[in-house]
Amino acid sequence: MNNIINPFEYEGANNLPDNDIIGYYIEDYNFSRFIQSTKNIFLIGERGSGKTMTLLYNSFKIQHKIANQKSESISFDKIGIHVPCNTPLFHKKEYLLLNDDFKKSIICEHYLVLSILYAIADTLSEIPEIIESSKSQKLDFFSEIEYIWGIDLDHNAINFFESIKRYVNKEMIATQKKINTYNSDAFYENALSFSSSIMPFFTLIRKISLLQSSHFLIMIDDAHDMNKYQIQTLNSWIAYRDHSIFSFKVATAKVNRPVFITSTGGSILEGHDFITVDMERAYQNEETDFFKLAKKIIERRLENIGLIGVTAEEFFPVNESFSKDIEKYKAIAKQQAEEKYGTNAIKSVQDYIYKYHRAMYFRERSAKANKPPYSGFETIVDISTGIVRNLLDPCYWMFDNALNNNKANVSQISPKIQTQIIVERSQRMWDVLRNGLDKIIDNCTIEQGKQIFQLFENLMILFSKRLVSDISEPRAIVFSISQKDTHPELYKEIISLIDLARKVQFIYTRIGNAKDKGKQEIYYVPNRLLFPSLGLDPHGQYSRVSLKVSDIWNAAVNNKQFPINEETSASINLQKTLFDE
Amino acid sequence: MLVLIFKKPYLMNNILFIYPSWEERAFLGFKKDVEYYKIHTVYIIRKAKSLNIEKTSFYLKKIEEYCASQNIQARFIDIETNGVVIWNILKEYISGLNREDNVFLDITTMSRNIIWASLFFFREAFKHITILYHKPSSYSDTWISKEPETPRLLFKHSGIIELGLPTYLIIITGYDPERTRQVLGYYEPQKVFLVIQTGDQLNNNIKNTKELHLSACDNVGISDIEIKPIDSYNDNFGFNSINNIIMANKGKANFILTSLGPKLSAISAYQCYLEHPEIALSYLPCKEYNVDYCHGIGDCFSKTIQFDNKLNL
Repeated sequence: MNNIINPFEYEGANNLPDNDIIGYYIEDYNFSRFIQSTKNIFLIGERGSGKTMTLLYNSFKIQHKIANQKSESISFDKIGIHVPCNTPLFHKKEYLLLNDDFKKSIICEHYLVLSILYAIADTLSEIPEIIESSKSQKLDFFSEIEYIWGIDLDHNAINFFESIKRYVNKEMIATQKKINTYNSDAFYENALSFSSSIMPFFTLIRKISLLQSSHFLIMIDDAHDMNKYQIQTLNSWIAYRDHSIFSFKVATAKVNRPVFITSTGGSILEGHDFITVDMERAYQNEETDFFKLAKKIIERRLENIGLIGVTAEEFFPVNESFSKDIEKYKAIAKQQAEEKYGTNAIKSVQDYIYKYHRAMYFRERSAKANKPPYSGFETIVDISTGIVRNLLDPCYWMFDNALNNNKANVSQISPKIQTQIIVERSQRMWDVLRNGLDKIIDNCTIEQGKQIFQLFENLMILFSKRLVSDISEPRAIVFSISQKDTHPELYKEIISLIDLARKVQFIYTRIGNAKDKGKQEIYYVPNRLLFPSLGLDPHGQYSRVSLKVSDIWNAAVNNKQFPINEETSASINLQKTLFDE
Repeated sequence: MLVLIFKKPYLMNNILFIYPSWEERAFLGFKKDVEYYKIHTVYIIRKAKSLNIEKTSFYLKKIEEYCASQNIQARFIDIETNGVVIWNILKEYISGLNREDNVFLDITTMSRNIIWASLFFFREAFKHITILYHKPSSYSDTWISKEPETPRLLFKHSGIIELGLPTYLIIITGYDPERTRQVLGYYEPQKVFLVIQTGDQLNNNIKNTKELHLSACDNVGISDIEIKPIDSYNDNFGFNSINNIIMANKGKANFILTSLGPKLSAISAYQCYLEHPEIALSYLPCKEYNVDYCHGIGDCFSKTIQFDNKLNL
């Protein structure tokens, strides 16, 4: 393996060449069936959860390439159009200088419409079958659209869609030049709208025989970068009930998720106008979809550097003494459980072993000075907290370290290197927290930075105390918030703190069943990479700790430790449990 | 009877624009400016909710008292945090100036959005202005800034974006690698140029290293990174270093240019914008700066720049 490249290098999906997207993307356990439906879908998830990758993979450009590579024919039923919003265009703020709200809205829609038009033309211009199909028909597409839009196209372009691209960019440049002139109220009079430009464009291109029954999936990526006028406009389009020609797939961050208000002041409704898909996955064991996805991601990347047939578990082996110790404590737990419940109570015994054997191990370890050896593929998946980017990050640094030690060959990552990198990356996270999140995130005050650090520190103290306590759920590392209605003001401030921490992925949220049957509740999942530098167990268990608003407030603001009691724990249903009969 | 009316000749004034902060050099620099350039009127930009307000107010008062004692007119331009309001107020004041006045713009403690917005309005009204800048004598070893806000593209300087092109980000780095990480994370460019000040002045070789900024790029998802040197204290304030990057990549990408390093690079960045109006200028406001982050006053830089639709340094 000379000139070995690090297979775990993480690159934003927008920066990846098409072939890397095809090579890296794992189709199973993802959300293709939602993307390829005709429904309006919101894909939500924080950075690194795979939103862009999912949209790009399902775009028609990539699907067409995949079909070509496999020498398969492609269906033209669904045409995925990727529209990125994290571009400088969407960061423009000149509209704020306009006094008239209506004009602001028009300019913002104009930019959005031009971006979508360009993306449609760009996608179709790369599909030779569509170009051929349009050329072979008698209809003069140039004249048709020139007549409908009242414009002149460049007939010298190599095809119809290239001329549309040129026209769109010409409009884009003309608009920006006008808007950037000296006058604060500079406005572009010939602004385009969805109904005046995109709708007739769809009608026209569906006259191309290959596209006659096509449905266009307009994939708006990083929608949180749109301004409020663009969000309202998009929502108005989403409220459009006829899904026969187009639908929207909107990828956005969970924090600062766009509002559901339309341009006319109405609102779009979950279930009625759109469906939400959460890209962040619950992870608890190797039966979960995320574990299977993670395994495939790692093994695909190993294949890319020639390690064919090497499993993720073989590449990231577990420390032997750790394995032995875990087995030892399983046996001890089994003995205790059988003494307690009898040998015939199989489920109770299994349950007891599951709950306590790792806790026993960590209790023993806590008496010693050294940190436990954090190694093995399962541990790497644990510390990812169900986020693909978090999965690849430690793998990258482990591989880099191994490569420095052995430039000729990296056939596996030793448990020693794994432990070293996991603890280092964990310590790095704590350094950032300790220095104050106010240094790295927008609109976080110094006070809030301090409070977030205190909250996390006290959460870790709580989890470590629980781990060594004789309670029923000692390894719970997820929490929910109780008594929200008793202290609504405190709750609001706590949520502000948690939202700031979510912005930088120090904590995630999941939805699960509440104690009250039938109700759903939000659970808060601290990034599990925080645990190793404190010698804690990042594996967790199917349980959450219910924390009172007042206790969270005291932990964050007054740096007061959480009280521990048995009642704060409850089993949760984040996914199918291990012991379902 | 024939009455001859003679138009009274206008006496050209030397006017100075300053934006004093809590830093010692805000007053010391101002004093040097007015003494050396025989300033007649000072326009003092002040923010209602200023950073480190106690010290800033102290220096504002000293400046006002000094003006009174030296018979210099002091005019206050009150601004607030809202970017639109700042923009409109600066426009109102600058467009109302007598076009025959000699304008001096002291950028020492002026934030980049104010510098660039002022240059935009001065460019419309004046043929030339003189830029003044006073270096500190030292920087502190502790933190520099906290509570950053979201990076922003400057009004009217957000470039001419072409669809279908990747985004290249040029960061003139400074002493705070967290700022580098923040703009990278926000814009998520396909490629980044880290433009790093050369030399060992003010511990630059320790606080503004390639390694520090590369480490800030960790885990942002960008691997295409080029490191380029700049000397913002040379005759053209480092213009060539930035311009060369843009020229070498012209037409390949949409550019965002941000200056987080030496203040003089804000001027060369603006000149690059005028040479290439398709690039966007970005700034990064912060709510909190360390009150002790620099001390004293060092070398002074001055340069008269001509406006013939673009800055000529």
